[in-house]
Amino acid sequence: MSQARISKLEALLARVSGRRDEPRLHVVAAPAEEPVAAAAHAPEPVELAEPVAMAAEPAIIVMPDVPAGVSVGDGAPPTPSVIDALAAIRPEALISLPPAALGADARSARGPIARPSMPAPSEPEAPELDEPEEPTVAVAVPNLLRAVHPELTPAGDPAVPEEAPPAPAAPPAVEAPAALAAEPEPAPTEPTLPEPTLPEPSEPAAPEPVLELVQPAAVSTPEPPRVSVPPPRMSLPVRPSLPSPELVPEALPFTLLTERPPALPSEQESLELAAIALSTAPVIDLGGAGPVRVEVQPLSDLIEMPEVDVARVSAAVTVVPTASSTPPSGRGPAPIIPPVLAPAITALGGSELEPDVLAPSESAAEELVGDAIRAQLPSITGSAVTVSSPLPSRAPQSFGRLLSRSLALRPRS
Amino acid sequence: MTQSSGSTFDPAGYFAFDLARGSVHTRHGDRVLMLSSDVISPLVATAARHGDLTAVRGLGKRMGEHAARSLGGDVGAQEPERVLEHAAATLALLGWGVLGMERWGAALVLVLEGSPQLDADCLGLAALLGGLLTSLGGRDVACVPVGHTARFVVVHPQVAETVWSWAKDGVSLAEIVGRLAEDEAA
Repeated sequence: MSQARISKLEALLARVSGRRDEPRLHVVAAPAEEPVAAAAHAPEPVELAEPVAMAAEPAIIVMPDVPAGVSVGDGAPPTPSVIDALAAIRPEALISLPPAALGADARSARGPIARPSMPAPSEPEAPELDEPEEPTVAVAVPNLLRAVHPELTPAGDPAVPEEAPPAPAAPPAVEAPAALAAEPEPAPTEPTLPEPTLPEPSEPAAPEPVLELVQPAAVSTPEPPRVSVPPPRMSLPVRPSLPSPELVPEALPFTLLTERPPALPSEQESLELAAIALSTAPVIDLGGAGPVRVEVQPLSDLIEMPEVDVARVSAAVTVVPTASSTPPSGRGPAPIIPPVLAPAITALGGSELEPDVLAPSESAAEELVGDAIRAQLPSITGSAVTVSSPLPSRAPQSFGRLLSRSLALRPRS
Repeated sequence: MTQSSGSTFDPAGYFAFDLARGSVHTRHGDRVLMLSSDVISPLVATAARHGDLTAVRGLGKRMGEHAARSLGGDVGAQEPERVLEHAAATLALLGWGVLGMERWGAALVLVLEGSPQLDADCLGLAALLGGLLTSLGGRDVACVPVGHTARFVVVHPQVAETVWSWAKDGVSLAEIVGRLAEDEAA
């Protein structure tokens, strides 16, 4: 990885962080010195030493600016030469930026999310994108890299040129929370929707997502850490509406490489990834109801649900159109999310989307799950959107009410 | 306010076998016949081909009446789980399989597992369940089979044909639900 690439990556991190007044983010390889030094004399690539508490993490760490007097690893901050050496040995362990993330509109990341299988660096063809209607998401995402940016792709990805085009000028500084309330642009995937409105070249850039790095103690480095490392927790606000994915086919919103073959995620991992998938594809088409925006945060609240069932949670999440959407006349918000969530949940390794099953006698376990979901739902309700639960509230719902709702269903116009 | 009190379904004494007269009656007084499903299936399949499943729907209505009688009181005001319990027990006693109920957003979906194979498109079972819910809900209800998942979407009869056309085109249940929206005027 050249210094230019490092600089570009850092520039993107600074952009996505949206906080110019804070220390810059640095990309360093860690643990770097030992494996790099050993590999320099080894005929075959060697395994990188893994951080103590991050067995599956890649050998890369994104950290804030190293304060004066503080060092990393053996006492000195990793140098570009160290990173170059690492890149020469294990290019897949590093991350790089797709052209769209640097040169094109970095907001234009709406589109399919990468399949769990990761493209090998030696594959001659670029990874094929799925249909936009089938969002999927990468699995086995390193916790730490989740805090980087979904647009980061592996250095060995053949779809990504080694030297990315020059980064555009930084977008104008915006107040991210306020700007997030901007009206979403129509999603171009459904014929029933209005024609997608592409942003004019002269149009001011939309706000970038805010990347919040919190709880430095959550991740540890192999050596006694002397520099706090950003944790995997993050808050992904809703991203602005996005132009047609055809315009930026290379801009995979969520492609990350790991050093190990991806494995099926656990339920909690699936849930976290589902939340990320929602966050990275915030404009969801609900047919005639128009686009909606989804915000699921904080992720930590989601992944800490005890004994959570992904399928049940997916059934619990309902997305309603934002105020700027145009629901069909005379109809209330469209509360149906399963068609939207089903492909993502399935691709995440979770079970097929299941409904809220009404059992003759609700077991205590089901009640616990339901309570857990209900308890967590307020925390995943964003200000710009509405995420609510169709699960029955603790107030019992009558059979007649259920039947009436079902009988009131009509084909969307 | 829903009604949650009441006894669970009691299957005891549901059938009364009168060997002297050679008849079988339910405890509600209906005379029933014990027939092999191999006999029923072709009859239902023929009725489905002719587009007249009135008799099967009528049978479902009788079952719904039995379940409603077992429930007692206003069925619509009772908890869905309790209604399901009695309806499922009634169907199971008559050998029609295990009834389940699911909510897909606003849509109510019935699941009937272990049921006899009557016709290829499950229209016979759909008619049976439609009659069952019509009696329980006190409103005209249509159940539309979706694929071969033993699931039936509960819809208004006005939209049943549309939903059925989607199902025949292979549209998944999730997508079907997504194509439907609550009509507040309904």
